[in-house]
Amino acid sequence: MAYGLLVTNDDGDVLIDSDFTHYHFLGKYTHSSVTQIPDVSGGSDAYVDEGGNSPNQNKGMENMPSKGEIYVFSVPVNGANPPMCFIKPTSTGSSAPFTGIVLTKQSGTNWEIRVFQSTVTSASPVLYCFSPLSQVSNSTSTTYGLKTFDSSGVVTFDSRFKPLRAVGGGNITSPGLAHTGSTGSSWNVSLSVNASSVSTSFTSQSSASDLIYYCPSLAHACQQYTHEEDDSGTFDWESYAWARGDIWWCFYRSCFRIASTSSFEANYGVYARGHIYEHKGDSSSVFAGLILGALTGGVYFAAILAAIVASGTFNNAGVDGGNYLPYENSYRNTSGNAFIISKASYYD
Amino acid sequence: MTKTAGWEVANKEVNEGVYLLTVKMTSVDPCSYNEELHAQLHNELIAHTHRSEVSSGLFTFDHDPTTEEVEAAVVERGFNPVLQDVDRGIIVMYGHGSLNVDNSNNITRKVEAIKTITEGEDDVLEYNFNLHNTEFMNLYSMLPISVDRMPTSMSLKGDWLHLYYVNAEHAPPEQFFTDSFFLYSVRIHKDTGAIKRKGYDKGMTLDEETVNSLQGFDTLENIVATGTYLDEPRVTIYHMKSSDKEDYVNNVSTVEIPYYGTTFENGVIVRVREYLRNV
Repeated sequence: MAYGLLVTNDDGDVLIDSDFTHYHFLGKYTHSSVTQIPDVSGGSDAYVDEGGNSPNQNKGMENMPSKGEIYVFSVPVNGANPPMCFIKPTSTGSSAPFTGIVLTKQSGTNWEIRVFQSTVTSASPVLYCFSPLSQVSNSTSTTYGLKTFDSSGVVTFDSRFKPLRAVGGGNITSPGLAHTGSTGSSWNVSLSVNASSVSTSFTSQSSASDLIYYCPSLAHACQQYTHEEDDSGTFDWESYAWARGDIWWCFYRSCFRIASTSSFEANYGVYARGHIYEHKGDSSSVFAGLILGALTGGVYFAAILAAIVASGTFNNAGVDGGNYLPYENSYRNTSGNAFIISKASYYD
Repeated sequence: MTKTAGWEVANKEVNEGVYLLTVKMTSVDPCSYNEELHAQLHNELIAHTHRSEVSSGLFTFDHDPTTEEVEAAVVERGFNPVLQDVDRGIIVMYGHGSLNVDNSNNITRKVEAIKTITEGEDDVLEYNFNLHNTEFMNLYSMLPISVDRMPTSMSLKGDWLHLYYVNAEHAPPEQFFTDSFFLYSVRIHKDTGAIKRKGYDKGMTLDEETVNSLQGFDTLENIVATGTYLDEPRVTIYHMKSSDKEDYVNNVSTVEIPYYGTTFENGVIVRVREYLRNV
């Protein structure tokens, strides 16, 4: 740095660097809509009534955990760089819902931000958004302060436009599996989030309810439970045969909360879920082609899902289409999720 | 079609040092039937089952688990390769034996004949071709006419040889029947060769007019079957002895639970028979 301005604190952390494009307060935004990923649910019933003691229970979403909700924001940004959005959560503490940004997408001159919250609440999260000065179309009559330029003469910092002030931060690791232990028994599924929250600390602040955080959701997990039964034989003067195979799954996204004035926590929320089954009965051909054993799983699921989508049972309620069961019984991107803490009061 | 009990690793993945095993666990009805017995069970409509269940579970380990460790984990989660509480051994009406299951899960048929008790008549045993072949063939040799199809069982009531036909397809013995029923019986007079026929259906199949013509019909409880005579103005209603719990027949009569057959002729009760196992 032959010339310019570099301001550091006692720890040597850079506070202002005239060669660095600092982010400044763009605005405070409330959501424009709330949505949820529609359930993928349905199945195929064939001659079930002829199936003797065939099980007929729990063919919908019974016992499935509740989904979280997705808040859709539209943030006007004058430029191609996405805004850095901090979440002001609906509440803080050990009972607060977990929240995280799951989508940042340019939409015309705006950016669409989707914030996922693990549980449905009456209150809504608010976004505090920041952008480089070149994308902040604010003006001010204040004629004093500090303003820096890079070597090309582009303004990189202007104290009059509320630069982003970080008061804490670090890395957080999300849990691996969202649900641990048994995932179900017979026709009763158990896929609720029961993983212990992962906690990390940051520089202690005076008020948890004043804190906002930036921490995009990177980790996800997908878990499933399958169950199938079949029977054949003779009962009540008739031969019978039936087979039923089901697959339940949940797709979880990582999300976060301010647990205290110095504690940040990560866990999962149910982002999408599904239940597909196939059920066949037969009273005349006892052993004819009713065994699903080799089929339950990927190929079987894909075929049934395709049939349901084709039949229109799947209701795409304004949410992007796609495969909501991307993988089976695993998780991704759990480690090294950076987060930054700031204060809402700096910008209110 | 029979599944093999046990577990298998359907998917194994190492993720950030954690071993994720998706295990498919199969539980089966442990009872097996030899081919001959199995054919009998199906053809004589004897209640039995071939049930299996397969569930998947996700197990995690901090190391690559041994077979023994996976086995211990699935057992700890409650996996049992043997299905419990399989409902079996209910004999259907006019099936001729239900099932015994020993401690080794070997299946055999109960051999006791069905006995018919009628007031004012001698008790009658019904002999099954497979279970009581000697007695059956003795009766069969008494037939004064040639019979195209071997009956499932036979009995002798007075001068009448009773032939019972049971089969999985409910196919009528075409020598005697053109109409379809669930089960069939043919009575042949041992001296004259006269023939009388009766077909059986599940539940109550009579129309309202016929029912109204039966005196005392409203006293019958829990009807399980209807016997229709083709050559006489008769009908037999098969019903439970009472509505008491101990007399309850699960859908159809079982050999362990005695039941009654009340026969009407021209609307009047002419006899009541009790059916039970000869123990």
